[in-house]
Amino acid sequence: MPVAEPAPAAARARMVLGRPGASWQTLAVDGGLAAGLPRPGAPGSMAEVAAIAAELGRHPDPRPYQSWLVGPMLALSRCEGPGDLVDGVAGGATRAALAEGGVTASRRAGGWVLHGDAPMVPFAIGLDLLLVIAEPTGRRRGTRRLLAVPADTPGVTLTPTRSVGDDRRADLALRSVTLDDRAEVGELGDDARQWVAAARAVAAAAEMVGSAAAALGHASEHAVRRHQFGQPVGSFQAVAHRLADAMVSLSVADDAVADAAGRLDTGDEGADRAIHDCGALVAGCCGAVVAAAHQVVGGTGIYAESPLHRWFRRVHALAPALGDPAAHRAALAEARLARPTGHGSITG
Amino acid sequence: MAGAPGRGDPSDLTGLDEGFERELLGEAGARGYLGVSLPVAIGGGGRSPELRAAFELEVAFHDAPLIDTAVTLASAPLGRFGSPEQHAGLLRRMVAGEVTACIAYSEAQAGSDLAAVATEATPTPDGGFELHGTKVLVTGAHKADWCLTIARTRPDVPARQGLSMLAVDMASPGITVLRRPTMNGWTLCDVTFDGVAVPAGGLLGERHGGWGQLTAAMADEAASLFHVGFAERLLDTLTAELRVLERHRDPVVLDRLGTLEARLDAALRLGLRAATAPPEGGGAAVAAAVSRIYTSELLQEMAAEASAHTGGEAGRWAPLFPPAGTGGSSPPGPAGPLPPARPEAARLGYELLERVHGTIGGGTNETKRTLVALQGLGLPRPGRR
Repeated sequence: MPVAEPAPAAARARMVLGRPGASWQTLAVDGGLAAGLPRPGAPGSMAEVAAIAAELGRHPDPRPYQSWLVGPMLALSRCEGPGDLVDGVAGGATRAALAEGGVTASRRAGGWVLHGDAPMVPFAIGLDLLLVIAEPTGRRRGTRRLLAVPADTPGVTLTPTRSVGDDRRADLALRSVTLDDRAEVGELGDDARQWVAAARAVAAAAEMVGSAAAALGHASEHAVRRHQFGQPVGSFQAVAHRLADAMVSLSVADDAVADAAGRLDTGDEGADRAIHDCGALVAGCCGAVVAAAHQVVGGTGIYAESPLHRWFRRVHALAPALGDPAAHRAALAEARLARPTGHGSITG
Repeated sequence: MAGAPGRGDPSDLTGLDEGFERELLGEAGARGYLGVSLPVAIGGGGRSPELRAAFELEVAFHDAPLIDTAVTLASAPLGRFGSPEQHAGLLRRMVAGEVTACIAYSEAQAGSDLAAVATEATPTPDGGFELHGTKVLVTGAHKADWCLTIARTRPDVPARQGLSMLAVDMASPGITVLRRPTMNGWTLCDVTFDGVAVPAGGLLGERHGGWGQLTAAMADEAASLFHVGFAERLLDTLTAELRVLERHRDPVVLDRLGTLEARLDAALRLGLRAATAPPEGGGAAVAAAVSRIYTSELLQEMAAEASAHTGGEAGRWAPLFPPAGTGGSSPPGPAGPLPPARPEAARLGYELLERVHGTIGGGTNETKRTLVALQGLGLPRPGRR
């Protein structure tokens, strides 16, 4: 498999992911799942986050890592944020999800009133807290605020909905949700929101690569074991070459994630391009890998008891977090048109 | 290339005449541009694989003909498997830019199936060999000073245990080179060895160990960044053309351009992964195959895409450099002199025809997919129960 050897933190995560019935808090603490995630004043390491995310992606059971850790920690890291909130999220004691949608915040004496909706919040069942990115209305338009909303606040409803992913989603509605000023965690400017979105995309992409790698490994083992026409099916070129193509696709996705994570960590000037590469390539590549894996495994792969469809679901459930590939392609095309031709400077 | 007025030769893959190529090669050797990442102990530059990769990218982007020479094709197996005498002699002269070389592995009945090699190297009493056989699809044999080839040295064992690699002086008596034009105007050679005497010092590496050496040499070649440089040049040309033709605001065209841009970035990352993989483990050969499959097919897609989006300009053709005697004006294409068009537009026609062989030469993409399946994914060999 081309996926790089896991960092020590990822190896630690792998140790605990197989524990059946372990609580989220146990997984988070014993597995050290918050390793690499930035905190207020501490930059973290997206390369480490990507390694942990890939490890989660390989495991057939979906975990709320992206929802309860990555999203909230990334947003909190851009604010001054109260330390106990950060500690609660990082240690798995506070089950918080980041919600960004069409939510507005109107100023009321000593507080805010929230209105709006955020559809398809993953792992939204059993939440303690919603971290809502809201747009102030009226004279305070402009910089968005990060607000901590306890899930049992009047006016908050979470309506469970079924989804492709095995990830307990709900549609969030906020109707005249009244909060006092203590709910405001901080401001999230455009740059901060873009950074959070980019880092979330890379973490999600890394988990997708992990799932795709696991599916390819599963299909390859199947192709060695399964005999038809008196031979292992993997000895037929049509099958072998399809899996080889899947490995090419997986390599493309894996490299794109590693490049983007590394450039986010160093603040490299090529980070934007690497993020667009991720958005343009990873969903298609991982989708091709899990599709090929299903085709090679054949009929038994679609049984619910097979792990294969869980990796398939995960890839497709996480893909929207990367943004529309067409938008990333458009950004890449614009960037190329803006560069002078005739120089051949792609090594930068 | 601005520095080559009137020195074009469309019948050579480099696009340049041999005299100019040798001048350029000597100059590059004198400046230390050749063999930059070979170990210092054997006459190389001792620089990192990353630097070699960057060098290969730039060379390919700018049509510099260093991609068709001794160092590129022959220095890796010579460096890896050569004797101290071969390092001190032939390899040093290659790195100095003093000699050109070709590699001659394929035969009429041994393409993807190199175990079918029928060329024979019969041992002679002086410890050398007498070489008989015909190699095909050889790039640049007509101008090469040396040739690396592979032949059966033991007919009584399976081919994989009875092949040896040889370095042959192309000035030896008994060598015939037949140039055959390709679809894009340049020539490939049939090289016939008719009782050619190869001295003992011509054996490259282990006697009867040629199969494994050749496999390693193919992986080295596939790990080069030249194809990524070609792809960057092609997309650069297409971008410039889209602007000239004012197609660059069409949202459908833009979407395709964005796709190709993302895939070019991916090709670069795969190429760097292959170029920097440690050569010892099996991962290097797999990474090289993955990189070559992806980039060679991307090049074909780019070339076809370029034709699709350039409307009436699509299909214009010209060689890379104006041939000698035309002084740089209106190069003749296959259908007679061109109207005074932008050379960049005519380049797209050249690219369309040129990119066909990228998925074939140096091992077909089918053999590379099989390599990925066997070595990368652990799948069973075809036809074995």
